[in-house]
Amino acid sequence: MFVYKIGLGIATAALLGSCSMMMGQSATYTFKHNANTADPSASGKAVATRQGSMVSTTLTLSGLTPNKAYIAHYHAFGPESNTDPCASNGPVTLGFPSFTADANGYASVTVSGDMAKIAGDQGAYINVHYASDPSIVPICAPIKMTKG
Amino acid sequence: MSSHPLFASLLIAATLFTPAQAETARIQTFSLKAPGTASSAASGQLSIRSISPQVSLSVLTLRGLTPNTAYVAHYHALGPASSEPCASQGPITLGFPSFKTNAQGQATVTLRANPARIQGTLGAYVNVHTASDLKVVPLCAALIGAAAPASASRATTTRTVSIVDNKFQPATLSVVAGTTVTWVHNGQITHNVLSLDLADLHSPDLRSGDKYSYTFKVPGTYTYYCAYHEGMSATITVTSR
Repeated sequence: MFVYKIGLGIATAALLGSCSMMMGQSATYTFKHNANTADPSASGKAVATRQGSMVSTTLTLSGLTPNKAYIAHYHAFGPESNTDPCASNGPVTLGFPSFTADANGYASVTVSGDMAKIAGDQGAYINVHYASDPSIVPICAPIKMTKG
Repeated sequence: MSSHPLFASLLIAATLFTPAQAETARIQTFSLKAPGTASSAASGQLSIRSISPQVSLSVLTLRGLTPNTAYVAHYHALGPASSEPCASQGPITLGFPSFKTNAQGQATVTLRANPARIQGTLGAYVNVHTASDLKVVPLCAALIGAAAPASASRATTTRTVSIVDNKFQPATLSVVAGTTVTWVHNGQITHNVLSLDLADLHSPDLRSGDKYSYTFKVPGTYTYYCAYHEGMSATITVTSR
């Protein structure tokens, strides 16, 4: 199994975005902090592994608010940027199960979904939101850096 | 609220039974026809009058039947044998009182019922059988699908799917081509409706009370889902008219 560990994920974005991730291959995306004050130490990674027509994605996160509930989603490339997926404000295309950070601010959550749901621009980035207020998004993992 | 309960009851009763209310009661009319190879001399009409949310009156007016003969009639649910209601062989959901034709082969029979018992596919068709042999069905009226009300040139078919947390109800639905399906959000948390099979079936984010409609034009089986909640999916089968 190849594991691609790439900081901001241009090459891995191409892998997932072009559906070229071979069966069993994984792609890793790194979360970056958004320009806000929520969970200032939050960080993490997303590892996406393709199994046939399905993709299993696991988020491993730290620096979250202990014992706080979160939600996370894949988003499509939105209308507000062509080059910064995390700023593009795209619609949700695949949701992770809701989860809660542990007493140390760590969390891990996995979703397995149809590859077609997040192919190309449909899987441009992953946002982690506060469950209590989805408008608060401490961290985002960009996947596809260019629209189209 | 300071109204006396008795006064309130009288006011409600008076409101329910005014002539104006009776005039505005909704009436649907359907034709009864001979199914398959049965006698074509018989004909009739079914009118359904909505008296209140809890009461409807179904009136069968029949002619051309065998004189002085006992018949029975039933509402049937849509069965598995066909998408055409009258050929679908569905189970009985509600029975009319048994009745007998007069010397001219005519009969009228009335059924008072809760409309919930014959709503949607639960009241897909009405069959008139001979009482002596229920397999003899001289007349049938299809209430859903291909049959249009006799008073309308062409009915627009609509169906509703309820969105709750976290599933679609019903999870499977069969409609005829041209049907408009409306999803109604009856839950609490955000959902949406998307399909990999139909690119233009793509709702915005829906919140409690929101609705989204889509008209299915091409026969086929379509799976749709909520992007927020993996595993929250359902299927609509579209059949030919």
